[in-house]
Amino acid sequence: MWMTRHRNCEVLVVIFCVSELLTVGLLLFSHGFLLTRQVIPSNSSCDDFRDPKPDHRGETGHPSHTGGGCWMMPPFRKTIILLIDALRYDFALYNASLKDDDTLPYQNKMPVFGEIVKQHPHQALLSPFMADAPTTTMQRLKGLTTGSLPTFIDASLNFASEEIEEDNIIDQLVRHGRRVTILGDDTWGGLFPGRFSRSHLYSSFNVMDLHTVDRGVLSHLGEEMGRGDWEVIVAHFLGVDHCGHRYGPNHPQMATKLAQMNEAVLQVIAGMDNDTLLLVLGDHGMTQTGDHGGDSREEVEAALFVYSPALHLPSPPVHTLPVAQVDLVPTLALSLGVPVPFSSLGKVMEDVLVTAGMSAEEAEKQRHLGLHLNVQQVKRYLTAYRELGNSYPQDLWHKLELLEGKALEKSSVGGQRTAFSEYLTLAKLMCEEIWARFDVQEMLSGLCLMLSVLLMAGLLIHSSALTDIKTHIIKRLLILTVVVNLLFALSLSFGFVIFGYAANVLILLWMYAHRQHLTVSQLDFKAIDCIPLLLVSFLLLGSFSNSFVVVENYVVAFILLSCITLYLLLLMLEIVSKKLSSGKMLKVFGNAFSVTCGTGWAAAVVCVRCSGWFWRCREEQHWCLPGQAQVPLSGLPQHLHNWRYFTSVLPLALAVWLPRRWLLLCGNLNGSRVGVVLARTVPVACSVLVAVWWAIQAVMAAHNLDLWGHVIPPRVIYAATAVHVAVLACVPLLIYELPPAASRKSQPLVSDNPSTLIPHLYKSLMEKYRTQNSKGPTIPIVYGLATGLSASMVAVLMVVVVVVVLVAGDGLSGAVLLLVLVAAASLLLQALWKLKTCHNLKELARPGWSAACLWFTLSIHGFYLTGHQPTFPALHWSAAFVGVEGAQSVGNWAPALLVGLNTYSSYLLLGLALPLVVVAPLALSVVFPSLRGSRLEGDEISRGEFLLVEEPDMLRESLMSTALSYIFLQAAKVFCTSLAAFVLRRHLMLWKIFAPHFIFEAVGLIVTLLSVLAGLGFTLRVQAALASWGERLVKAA
Amino acid sequence: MFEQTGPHATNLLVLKNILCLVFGVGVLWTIVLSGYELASSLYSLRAYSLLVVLLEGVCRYLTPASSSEISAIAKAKTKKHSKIFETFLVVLLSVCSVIGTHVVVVLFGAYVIENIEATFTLSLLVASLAFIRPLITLGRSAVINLLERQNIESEVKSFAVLVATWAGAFPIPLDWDRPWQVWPLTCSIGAILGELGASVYFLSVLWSKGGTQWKNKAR
Repeated sequence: MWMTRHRNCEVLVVIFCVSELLTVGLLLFSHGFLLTRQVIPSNSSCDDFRDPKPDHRGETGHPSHTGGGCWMMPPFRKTIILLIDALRYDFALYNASLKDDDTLPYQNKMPVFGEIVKQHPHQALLSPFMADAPTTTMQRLKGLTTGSLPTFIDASLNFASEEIEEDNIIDQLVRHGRRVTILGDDTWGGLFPGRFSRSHLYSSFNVMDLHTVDRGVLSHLGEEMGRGDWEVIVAHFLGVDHCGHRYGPNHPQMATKLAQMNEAVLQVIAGMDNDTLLLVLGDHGMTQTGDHGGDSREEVEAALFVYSPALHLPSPPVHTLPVAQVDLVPTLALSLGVPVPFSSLGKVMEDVLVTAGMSAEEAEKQRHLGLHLNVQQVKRYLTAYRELGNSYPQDLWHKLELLEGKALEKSSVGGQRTAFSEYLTLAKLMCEEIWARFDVQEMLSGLCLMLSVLLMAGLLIHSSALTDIKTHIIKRLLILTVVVNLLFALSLSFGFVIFGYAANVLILLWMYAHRQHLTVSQLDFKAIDCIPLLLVSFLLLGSFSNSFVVVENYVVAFILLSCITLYLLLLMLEIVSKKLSSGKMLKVFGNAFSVTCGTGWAAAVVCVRCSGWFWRCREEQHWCLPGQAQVPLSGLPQHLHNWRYFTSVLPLALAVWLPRRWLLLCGNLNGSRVGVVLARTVPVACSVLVAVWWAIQAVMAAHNLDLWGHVIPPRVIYAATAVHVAVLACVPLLIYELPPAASRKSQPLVSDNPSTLIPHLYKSLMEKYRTQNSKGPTIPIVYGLATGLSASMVAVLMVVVVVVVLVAGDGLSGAVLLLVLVAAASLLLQALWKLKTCHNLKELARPGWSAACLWFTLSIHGFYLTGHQPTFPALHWSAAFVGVEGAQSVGNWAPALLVGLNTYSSYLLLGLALPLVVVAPLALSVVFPSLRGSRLEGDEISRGEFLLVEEPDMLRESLMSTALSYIFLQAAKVFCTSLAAFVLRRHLMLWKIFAPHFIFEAVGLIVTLLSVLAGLGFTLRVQAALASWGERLVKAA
Repeated sequence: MFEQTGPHATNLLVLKNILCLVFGVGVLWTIVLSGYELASSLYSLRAYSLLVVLLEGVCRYLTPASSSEISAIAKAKTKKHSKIFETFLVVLLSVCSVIGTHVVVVLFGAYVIENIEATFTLSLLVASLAFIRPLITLGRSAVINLLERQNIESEVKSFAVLVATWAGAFPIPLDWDRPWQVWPLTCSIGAILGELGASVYFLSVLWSKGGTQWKNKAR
């Protein structure tokens, strides 16, 4: 008993060590790949540029220290900023040529901007306001207040709001005695704690809630404007954004929301003083489905509206020029007379600095001064950033210096102004480029590490090391892992890349030292192994081409179909070569085996083809029409509600009923063991609760209710799942022993019931077997022993499937069912192939590369099938609110975990179910004896999975080789995406296609590693329990 | 199988393969000349499919029956109308094979309704190259014969065509924006290239085998 446990642990240790080493390589690579921008803690102060250069044009302009201005004379005293989240440019643009009936719900709903610009062309301006990706609200707020460019990795911190430490406009305002009032989104409170003199903040967490924030802002806005105690008011409306997330822009709700915003802007304009500047702006746009985060034109192009009665703009140009979002910070700072924040990269909108009272010459001077100050500030930042040890591209930096010199040489004011503008534009361009910079050495060492671990895994799979595991090798492997981890920690903390390479050398040395155990004796690759490997290598190579990554969902489905069809073809070849009776079609293909093959293939192929309904469209897939499955029930039109509800509940019911039926057929749901009772009740109860929860959600959305306790069903499901899994892990046996006395009486009863016929058959075999071994007087009759190993796993998977459906949402329950069906069909085909071709048990229990390839392709297919794409806008944020009410009650980890579960559900399910690949042929051959091949002796195999319990070494070996092959393929995919990201790091599409692809794959690998470990651990636990049960039985007899 | 056939049959086989080559190159040439214009390419592909089937039929008619087939025919002659029935069955199976190919192509990812003409043209092409020809040569149990590897020529050709069609799907996603990347031209061109490759392979085999025969004859 102790020995079994020990050996089981060894298996887990091997898998754990390989996984851990892979993870280290991956982390090392991503640390070099996803560099963040260095934050400079300096702040601008009032005295920095108090005197513009005296030699420049002789005059110094206005005495800049008077009138409350810091660097220059401020044209405005007060500012109102209305930040309408997700206000896209075309929401704000008024198109007079459209009739009211023809407008889309978001068009022409905010006529206020058009009217004001028409009435006061010199006082108002509406222009596109270009955001920098990633266009998530948090990143945008940081960009809008610091005036700097966000880096890629910041996007992952969206849920964990944190205080801004960099110099920013709010701090500058507060430092220079301006009082700032904030209304609306509570993200501001997290970013700038304690800065605001007055605040009315509301939770932004619940995306489903369209009105709370806006109503709160509107109820306080008028009152706050009436008070005299402010210089800046920021009002952040969230309704438009939430409306987009919930319904998309094409929904009547959007029209009412925009009309409400229009009213709000009108009211603010009516209540404005003459020396107040009004800015209405969107922080980003939204796609046609209402999402944002990426860098498509629809997401990036927000609106900016500037208005003040005191403003004097030049005559409006024919074509409105877009304004960058970083330009807001210098404009705001200079127009209110505070220093421009230290790391701002924006270019001041010089026209906004001119007020109506100025003469033409004064106005020109004002513009010039603003730009000159701006250039000096940006130059100071660039120099400071360089002094920190960062370098710029030589040519760009040189060009910048030239431009600066040219600007000062120029005699005309106009010429200088153009040179300044060019300087600022180029500076921003240069920074955009350098913040996509990489630590090449670190990336390389990570790649090498991954490659050598892959080599190790490959050798382990094919060498004799797996068949008899030596304890001392495992101990040394563990030591190796620990040392490599230490080296990794050292390399991160001291920044020495050499440690990464040292770890790599260490692994290679370890492999060399154990070469006699790791030698590959003979490679017997058959067609069934080679061709799937070839197909998978196509898939891996596809990571290097942007067009293949963009259409990866199609490619994966194609490869998966090819793998499945290959199984069918090879099976047909086998069948025909066995028969050797040319001629009659029916004779050859008419038997149960062939029919099962054909049905399995057809089911798998149809299911894979139908997955197209659930695919999500990438932005680059311009031909793709978004399906209905992505829209939640509340977003659908009224007449489709019932249809959607029932088409969601039906797949859920099937996904629970089919495995349950299978367990009943195997006789695993008899008796009253704790596990059996749970497996009978928990999945069904959970699925009923899911249906109830969907109904509650639908009712709440339809009537705008906020029911108390609507989060209870999901929480009960989570709790029940936890209990179910925990109990099954402790007492995993799903078998039923008939008491010997009762068995004789109930024998006829049992055979009457067709669903227990197979256990009955098995029982008689078992009887025979037992009488041979122990000639005891009592013959135990046991139900479900032949599938004892897999039944517990199936029972656990049933509940996990229900949770996955719950998190996936009502639209995608069909997708989860399809995934389960394809997985079952693949298991069937794999089992049939094994049963047809194998000569002995050892071959039968070792699935080989073909099964690993199939399972691997299926896991990636499942990712796309469940409505995902490897891009950030495609994340299903709605999953974060399943059973979570507000941000206050739980930390950020629960929503993050739920979104992760939603995104990686297929990796999780297939990783957990991996041991089923090993046991499926045995289980099938017992439950459907007609599928059994003639090569395997009947009596031996009829004991089913219990064979593996009695031969634990064989089980361990095949589990380990299967898990290692599966991990090998997943890691190879991640390695290829990393290599692609490394090789193509200067590619135009890096941040749009390759980097997100790499990040999604990398997290997917970690999920896979964890779930494979969990699945293996669970199976080995069941094996140990069954073995000890058998021992006890033999002793008792 | 070559050993059993006489010089006449071998000559016929050589002629057939050369004609296959000519037709294949011809249809490719037509498609290239039309500038990969879809409608005319589809038309020439359909014409090619028909031509190939006709060629196979003519060859079948002209081939002297081999010994095994003679026995089969003798068996068949005992039944009345069996020849008509056999022909009818072959036609029926051919139609079924076209439909089956279409279904498989759709299952592999072609649109169901959009571009149905293009998809059907591809299925017609693939079915006539890979299934209808063996059906004509081998009779109704062609599928089994193919899987049993009894007729090497048919098997290699069918296999090459199917694999090449399958491989023809790979260039579709590339963003090169070439005119030949239009569905179903890549797969069709793949199928024809597969056919050409198999024909060339056959001619070379026949040449190395038949060369000795012809030399013998010359002596």
